[in-house]
Amino acid sequence: MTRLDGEHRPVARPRAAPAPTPTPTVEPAADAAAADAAAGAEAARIFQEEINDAVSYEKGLAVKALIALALVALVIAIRVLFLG
Amino acid sequence: MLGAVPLTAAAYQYVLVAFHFCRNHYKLCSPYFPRTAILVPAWNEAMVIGASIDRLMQLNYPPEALRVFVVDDASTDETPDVILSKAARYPGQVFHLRRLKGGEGKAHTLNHGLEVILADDWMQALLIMDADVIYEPDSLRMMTRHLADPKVGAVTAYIKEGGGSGNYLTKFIAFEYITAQAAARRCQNVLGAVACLAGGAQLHSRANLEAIGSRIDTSSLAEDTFTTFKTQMAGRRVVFEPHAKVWAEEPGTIVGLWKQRLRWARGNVQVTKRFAGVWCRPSRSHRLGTISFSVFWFSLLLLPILMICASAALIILYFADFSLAWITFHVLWIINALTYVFITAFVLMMDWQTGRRVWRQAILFPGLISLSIIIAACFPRLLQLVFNDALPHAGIAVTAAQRRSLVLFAYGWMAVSMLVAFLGKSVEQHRFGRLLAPMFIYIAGFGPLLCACTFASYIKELRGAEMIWDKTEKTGKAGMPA
Repeated sequence: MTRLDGEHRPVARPRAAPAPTPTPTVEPAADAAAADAAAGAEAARIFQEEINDAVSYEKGLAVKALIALALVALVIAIRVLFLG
Repeated sequence: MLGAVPLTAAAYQYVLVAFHFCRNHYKLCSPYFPRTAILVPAWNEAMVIGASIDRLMQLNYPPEALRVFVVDDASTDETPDVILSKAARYPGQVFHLRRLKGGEGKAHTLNHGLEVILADDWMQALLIMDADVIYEPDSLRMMTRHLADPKVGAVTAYIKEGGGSGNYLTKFIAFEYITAQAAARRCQNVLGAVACLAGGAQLHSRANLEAIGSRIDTSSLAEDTFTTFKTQMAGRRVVFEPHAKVWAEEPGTIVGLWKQRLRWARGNVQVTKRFAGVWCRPSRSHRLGTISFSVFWFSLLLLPILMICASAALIILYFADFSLAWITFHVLWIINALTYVFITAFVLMMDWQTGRRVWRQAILFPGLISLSIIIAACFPRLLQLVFNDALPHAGIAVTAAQRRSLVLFAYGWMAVSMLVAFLGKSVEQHRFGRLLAPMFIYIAGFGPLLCACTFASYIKELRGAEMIWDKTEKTGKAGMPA
């Protein structure tokens, strides 16, 4: 199941957007940069999964709308055939 | 047949929801984590504010990109102490802003915070929320991804009723929120025009806030709707993110609900007047002026008047042309029935997590009497069986005069239902009120109660009554299901 049903999975802490005004920074170590890149890739993967989940949920809603319309048709049929 | 307009508009609105899978903003999203300031207005929120701050600190969002500013609106309880203790616990992340003169309304409180936040260029996005609402851990992240598109000025989330098991009224509200939030706002996404950024969950880009004047409108009771309209009229998009869920405590009494909804409804009347030039005038810069959006807006705003007109027309027709009245009545209520079946079934399936808790209230939303009329109008043979066979069999003879009275009652019910729902509010504070009020609401319906409230808002606005910010009482009961 997905988070759309209220469940949550652990999510890698995403990185913040860079500040608009550059501030002096210390040159990051190579392993820190690699970890950062890995976290970024993980965040991107999770993002894509969430978007796919969201879109498939929305597609499911279209099917549910059709089911609701079928119920309406059933009411009309009952009225016309039996209790009209 | 004017009475059928809001029904058909409602059905059309829900059909549009089905197209949200192809007309949404997801294609233009990307992972984006702007430095976000969370602005929380608080007046005497000692019971809830501490837990709210703790939960905000646990959001799945980079901590270095998150700051919480609580604007204490001259609280007289322990609110300042609670905020200060949280500020000490989360240094550099939680800030206490104190207004010395309070009670002017939420917009004034927000503007106090906005002034401070905008004075610093740290903030890239601003989340305005209520002190008691609970954000699901991923909700902010799901909202900010839309701001990656610079054409988007603001994003809102799906507000859900979070009162736990709750009473009959909060269950009605829970169902209403699926219709008004999850469904109606998806439809607004499809149309490209959003009616309202929920007051408890509105995320703005800095550029948008600056474009709309860096201030929240203080001249109305619907500051959130004003902001929503101004955002879109300034040429930016407003997006509803249905998967970012926010839980809020809702009133458990009719009187509390009435205060809240009267404020909202009156605010909507003010918005309608203020943006009079927008309606039914399509524009290149925004989609608020489309015919569809205008019809949806006025169908809700004018629903009480349309209900009264429909009842009055049927009664006049009853005396002028009985058979025409009978046919019109059937057509109107059959449309009502089909709309009811479609919307109730679809909405319950849309959010079954809530739906399975409130399905009884969903079925009884129009009220027992309206349901009986729906059944009678849809299945006349069933009615004949009752009146010609079942009742005489039970020794109850219904005379022609009684039948005529029943018909007249059914014709007038749309208008009368609002009055009966209003009586529910009136009796609530009297002896046995807690017992009688739910009966009135189940009989008259929750929908007519909201219509009565909208009608009361017309009167207040026409009278030019003082704009009082009646704060909804919160007890800290809001919570997410485990």
